[in-house]
Amino acid sequence: MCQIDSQMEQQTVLNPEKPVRGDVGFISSLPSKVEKSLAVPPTSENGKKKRVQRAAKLKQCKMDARREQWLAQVSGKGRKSESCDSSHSSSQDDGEEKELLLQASPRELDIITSVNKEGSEDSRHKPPVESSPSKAMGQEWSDGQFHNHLGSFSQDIKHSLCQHHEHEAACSNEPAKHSVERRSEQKPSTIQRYDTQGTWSASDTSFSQSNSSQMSSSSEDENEVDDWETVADALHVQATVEDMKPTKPIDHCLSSDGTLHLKSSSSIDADKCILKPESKYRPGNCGSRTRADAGRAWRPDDLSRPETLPRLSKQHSFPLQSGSLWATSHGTIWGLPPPPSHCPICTEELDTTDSSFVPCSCGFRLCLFCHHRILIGDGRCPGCRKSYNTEAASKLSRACSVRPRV
Amino acid sequence: MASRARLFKEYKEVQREKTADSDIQLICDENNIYRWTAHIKGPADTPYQEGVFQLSINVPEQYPLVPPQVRFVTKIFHPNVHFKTGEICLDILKTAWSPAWTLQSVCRAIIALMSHPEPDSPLNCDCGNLLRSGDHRGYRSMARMYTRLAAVPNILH
Repeated sequence: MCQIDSQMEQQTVLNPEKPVRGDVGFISSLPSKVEKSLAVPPTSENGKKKRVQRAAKLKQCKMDARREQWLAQVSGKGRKSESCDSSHSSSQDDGEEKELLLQASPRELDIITSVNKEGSEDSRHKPPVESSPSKAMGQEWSDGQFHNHLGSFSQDIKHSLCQHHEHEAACSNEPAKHSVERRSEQKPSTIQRYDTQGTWSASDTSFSQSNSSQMSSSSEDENEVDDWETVADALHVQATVEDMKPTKPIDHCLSSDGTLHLKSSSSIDADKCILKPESKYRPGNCGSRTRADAGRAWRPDDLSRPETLPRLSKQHSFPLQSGSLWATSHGTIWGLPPPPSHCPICTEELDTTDSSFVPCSCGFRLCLFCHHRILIGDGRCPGCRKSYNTEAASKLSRACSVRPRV
Repeated sequence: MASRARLFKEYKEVQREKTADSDIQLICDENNIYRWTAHIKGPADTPYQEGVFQLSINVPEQYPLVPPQVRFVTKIFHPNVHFKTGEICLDILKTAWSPAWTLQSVCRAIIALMSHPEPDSPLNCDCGNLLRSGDHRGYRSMARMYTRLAAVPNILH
């Protein structure tokens, strides 16, 4: 999988005018890849083409199976996970790509297919600077030197970013995706050889982490949302500080696309934290997503909001954002008084579960422990002295006349 | 432990509102938070006015899920208070207890009971019979006498 992905990335890079992948993470990986390809001449790819092709086909089978899983998952989760995926690094696996592909326009498809037919050799011979950018991100991450290359390649990044963004917006449906994959298979890529395994694994890890965090944030737990918002704010501050200096070109070009902008800035953030590659990569990734989720980035009335966004991120990020806002700002919409901070029975502090627990229609709140103890006893609400299971009891009494009293 | 925490909270509450309710003075035993003493003033316009009645409060471990045991230490002539033991017949101290009640609210309920005796469920049958027979004057004089004998400080000293 990783290898195929890298191949695909390379392919994408090779044809800069028609970027196949709209992946945001891909962008951040560009500069490092450039260096890679420069270091290694592309001609070395030809010799291993067939061998890699076979291996790639085997992996294609795996990818298909994985894609099926992904489709099922994505359809189950809704589009949130999709947005998360799209925000991912280029090393991310095909699920994300599939998502993008689903949005492809026919024109894009034609381009892709034509590219595919022409063969990858042509693209391979193109200047390495153009072709290389996408692949080496992982390695760069692992090296922790991404920021070194940032300044010199920012211009390239900018170009590729724009292209990618366009492509991302319009990119892909199922057939297109297949073609892309096939293409990438046919081409033996230097990427898979040169990229360290650690790179891909690192990116995978970050992906899974981001995915899980996405899930948790979508669980609409208020506390968690708050945490994420604080994290997002902190990262945002850091990002703004960062934006002042070397990343300016990136930001500029990114202004056309909100997602891209988020990604790049976040990746820059990640550079600041100098640790292991994975840990470096994670905070940026999470931060970008968090910011998007927190509703900071693209509101419907944002002027800078790209027109292409609605299809990709609006559908998933919007409900999430509105949901979290709703949860936080409308905590007492049900007309009940705000929950006390402490249980009136045992004086223990009420946690979130207790606070959302209203066992009686009179609105008297208490902690679950006390409620349980009362149920063991006489089972009457301390606030109104009515039996807690009045409704159940009345139904029961109607059914078998066990308890006539209501 | 829940009872202890709860009693501590009530203790703080009592300390904070000591001046707020001058009719009720709740004192916790220095060595045992489960033993309390309360001094309540007899309500006005009753035979118990001018009297200060001492209550002993025994808080069970299961408190507040079960009611505290409260009895009059000071002698009182009241249909719902046992004349010898000081036991109080009050529904909230028995069946109508709610964990939401506190020692303070119990004392308040007892003051209300002093204002509104319930002769139909008497613990002091003599007092209850007086009221049930309509001899309110007899009841008032008896109650006032015992109040002055047992509960009025300046007479005690």
